[in-house]
Amino acid sequence: VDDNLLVERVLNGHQSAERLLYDRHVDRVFRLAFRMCGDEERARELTQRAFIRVFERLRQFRGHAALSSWIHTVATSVIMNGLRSDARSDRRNAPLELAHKEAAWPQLPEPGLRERLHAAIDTLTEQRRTVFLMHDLEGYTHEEIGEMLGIAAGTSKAHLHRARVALRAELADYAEEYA
Amino acid sequence: MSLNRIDLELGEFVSAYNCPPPTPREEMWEAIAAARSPRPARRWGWPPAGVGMAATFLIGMLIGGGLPGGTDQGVVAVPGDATALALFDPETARHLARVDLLLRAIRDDAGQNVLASDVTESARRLLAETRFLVDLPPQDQLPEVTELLHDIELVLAQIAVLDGEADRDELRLVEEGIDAREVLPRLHHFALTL
Repeated sequence: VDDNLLVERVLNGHQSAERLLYDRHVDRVFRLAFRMCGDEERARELTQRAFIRVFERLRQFRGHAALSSWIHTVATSVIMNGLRSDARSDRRNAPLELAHKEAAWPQLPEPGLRERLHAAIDTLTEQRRTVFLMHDLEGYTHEEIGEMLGIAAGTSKAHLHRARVALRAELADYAEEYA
Repeated sequence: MSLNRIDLELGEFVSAYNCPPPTPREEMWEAIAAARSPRPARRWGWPPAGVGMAATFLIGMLIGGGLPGGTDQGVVAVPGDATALALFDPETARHLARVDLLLRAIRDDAGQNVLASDVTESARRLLAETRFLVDLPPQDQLPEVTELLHDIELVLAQIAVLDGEADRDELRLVEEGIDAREVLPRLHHFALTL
């Protein structure tokens, strides 16, 4: 179904159109939210909030970009803002956060590299981590990432490069065990 | 220092980072609809198994010609003239082609008593599109197409509730559903006409 017709029908209040729009994009938004926060309940909340925002602001969609790009830009903004809010709250409750992290990281079947890798991803800066997860795990292109985060595609590439370098550096001593 | 071996493992371990579970789309949709509307949310969720069985029952009645509106046996409702066909929306045509592919795949699966893993997900997506098309204003759609879309909606709703463990009986019911309203011949006719 053509995006313009879909938008028109949503704006006219047709719930079947709202549902179709939601169905087309919800998987990608939820996956990104979960990748970013690692918590299903939180990913649900962020995804719901993202779609509520999308429906509220759909009148602002002018068709200059693809509908999917616009939706994911709105959704990414909601997710990032939600996670920043979480981070502020976590800093206020640092001991609680530590306990939560320990609880969320049970013993894994492959001790060592995987745990260290995941911990290293967690310590990347927000921009590097976001670009790394979007590009390497969720398959967004640098052009899409640039549009969604409001940065140039080249900046996205630079963030990804630095993220990979940082991860390699974190794991370099582990590699020596294989040498 | 060799990072090659690490690189091999990195790909696997990276993809395991915060690996998302299946999308809880129905729960989230209900929450979104509730948050956006003071009126009771119209449930667009996929029907529970009981509703799927009801759809099967209805289709079964239609097989026996027990309800008005069913096509006569062996007669397929088709668009009549070129003027009407000119109104046939290309989006709808593409949608019908996708439904045709899916239903034929399901017929093949039913013959082998298996169900491909992505069939249910495809049916759910197509069901959302079908409902969208059914909701279009009457003047935007041929009556024959609207009628076909209603029948497709019934069949897809039946498929959308299946899980990967669908047994032979469930697959047979789906197959009967497809046959009951002659969905495939009608889809085929549209494809040929276009």
